[in-house]
Amino acid sequence: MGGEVDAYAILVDRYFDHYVRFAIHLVGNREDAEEVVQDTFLRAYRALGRYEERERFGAWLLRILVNRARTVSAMGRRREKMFPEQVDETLPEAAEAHPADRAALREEMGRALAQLGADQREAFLLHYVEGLSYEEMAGVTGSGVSALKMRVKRSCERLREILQGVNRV
Amino acid sequence: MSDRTPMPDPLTSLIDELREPIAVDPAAKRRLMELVREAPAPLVVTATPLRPAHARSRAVSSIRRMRDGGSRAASASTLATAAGIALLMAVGSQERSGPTGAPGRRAVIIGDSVASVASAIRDTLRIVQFMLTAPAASRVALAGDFNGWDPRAIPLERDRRDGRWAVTLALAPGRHSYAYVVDDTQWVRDPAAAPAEPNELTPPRSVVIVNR
Repeated sequence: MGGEVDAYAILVDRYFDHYVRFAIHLVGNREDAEEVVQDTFLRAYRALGRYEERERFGAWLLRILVNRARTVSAMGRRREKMFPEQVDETLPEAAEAHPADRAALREEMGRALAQLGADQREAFLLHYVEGLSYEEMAGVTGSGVSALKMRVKRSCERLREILQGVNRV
Repeated sequence: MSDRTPMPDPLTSLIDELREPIAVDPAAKRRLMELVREAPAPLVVTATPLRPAHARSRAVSSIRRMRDGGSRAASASTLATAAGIALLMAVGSQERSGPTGAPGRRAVIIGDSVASVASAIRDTLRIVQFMLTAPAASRVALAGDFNGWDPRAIPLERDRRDGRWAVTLALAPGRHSYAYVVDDTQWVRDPAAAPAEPNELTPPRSVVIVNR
């Protein structure tokens, strides 16, 4: 006994870091993100019998992760750490004071993403960061292709407004 | 007169930044694996070796045995193989796992239908060679949805005789999009492959379909 756990550990090793990154962008802070990813892997392990083998394991995992992230985001726990309730439209002083600083850039990035609605943020990340096609996104999110296209379009428009606003300062 | 370089789309920088790998504390993975070890065994379905014409009845009867309260020992022993097959599907071996017909040997499959059983057995990785001719390049790497678009994770090796760069990977069957990264900065699609669905923000990408 134990071989099965070792096997699953290889899957964890393959996907964990990548999905923590995705979850951080999705839920806005590392603590919740690691919790979401941990919960995702545990649920996937318990549900291996329902895994549909025609689909890539990573895609199946992503679907579970997106659902868990939605739940966590809806609960609104710890969001104030990175997603303040009242977002300042002029954006962070840190980014202005140290434009070349990586940490400031990431902070700016997080705040920009935070200003999107959850659906738009999710669609933007799946399409442009994870590289999913709209059909693949439909499989992961359960939403229709045309709705997803609209969310991506609006998220791009909104992010451009936010980021160009920062660059003009 | 203005010779200012046009300002790049800010979304491009944002996307590049969002794609940057992040450091994850290895302890987080260790904690997860501790929880996996303590977790209840996943539901698995056992079946005797598949023979196409009779697979359905055999698989169904095995499911019933499990649901009717198969012993914990049997459940535990099947789990090991089941997880191994999950691994085979997603990471696994480069071998094709055909029906295991050796007398007295049990195949253990995850899934809840005969179709998924057969699919599981077929679903191994395939060897795919990626090749780009770029004699002037100093470095070429491969980035794709299979490695989180990490532009440094999969370097290609150069054949100095003809300027070709190549790498061989084991990929799961399905559709994968990818691009080459030349000299760490230039993203190019594979001229020999179909282009991926274009959009104005992501680098040019190609698509490879890995057949089962």
